[in-house]
Amino acid sequence: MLSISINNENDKLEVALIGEVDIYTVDMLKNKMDEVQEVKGKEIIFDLEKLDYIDSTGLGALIGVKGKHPDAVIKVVNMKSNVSRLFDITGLSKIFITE
Amino acid sequence: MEVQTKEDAVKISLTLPGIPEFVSVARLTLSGIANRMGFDIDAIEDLKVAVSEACTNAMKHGCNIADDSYVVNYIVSGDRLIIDVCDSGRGFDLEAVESPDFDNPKENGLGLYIIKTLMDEVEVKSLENNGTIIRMIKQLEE
Repeated sequence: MLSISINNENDKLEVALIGEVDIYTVDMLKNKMDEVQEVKGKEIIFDLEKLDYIDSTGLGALIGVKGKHPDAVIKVVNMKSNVSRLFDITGLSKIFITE
Repeated sequence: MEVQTKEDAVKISLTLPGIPEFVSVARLTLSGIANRMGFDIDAIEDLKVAVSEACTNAMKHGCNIADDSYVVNYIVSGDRLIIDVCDSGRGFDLEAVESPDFDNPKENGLGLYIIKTLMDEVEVKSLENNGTIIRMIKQLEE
């Protein structure tokens, strides 16, 4: 299961993912991100502290966010080791700022 | 697709519907089997991703309607875990699967690459109109 908490402030958009992103829950993530208004000019921060699982479907959704907002600085923070490992092997740690 | 297995190899089979919410069942089953075999937490996380990627693949390319199903076989052979994910779809041309372009990542096409990176051995057998089998093998490290 996945739950998503979004905090849209003046200068940044914080998105916390809690649970699992897979082929089933990824549509929820895509829909939530599509619903967010006024993203232009903001830093986008994905907080993955409570994300237990992600696979290529979820990574694809994050690539989609980058595609939709090519000029945005996107940070991915607080990754668990299994999650950061996937960012490393797929090269995504090069497109996103990971902390 | 023959594989050498030990005499006392055990096979656990799961038939899953082509419905995304049940991929997590393949992960849960995997966790139980891999934990029992003695794989550590990091290896189990890798295995979970690999089996999910193969199931996602089976669903995307092998199941045309929700009634279609696919099969996950977990074969425990000594200290080797062999996982076969079999669908009955149109099959695909493995040669046509491109390696991901890391400078211009796309939303799709990472699955097989991730499987190959996480598992010790990967074999894909795809027959035109006769489905695809993705076989993945992970050796338990001493």
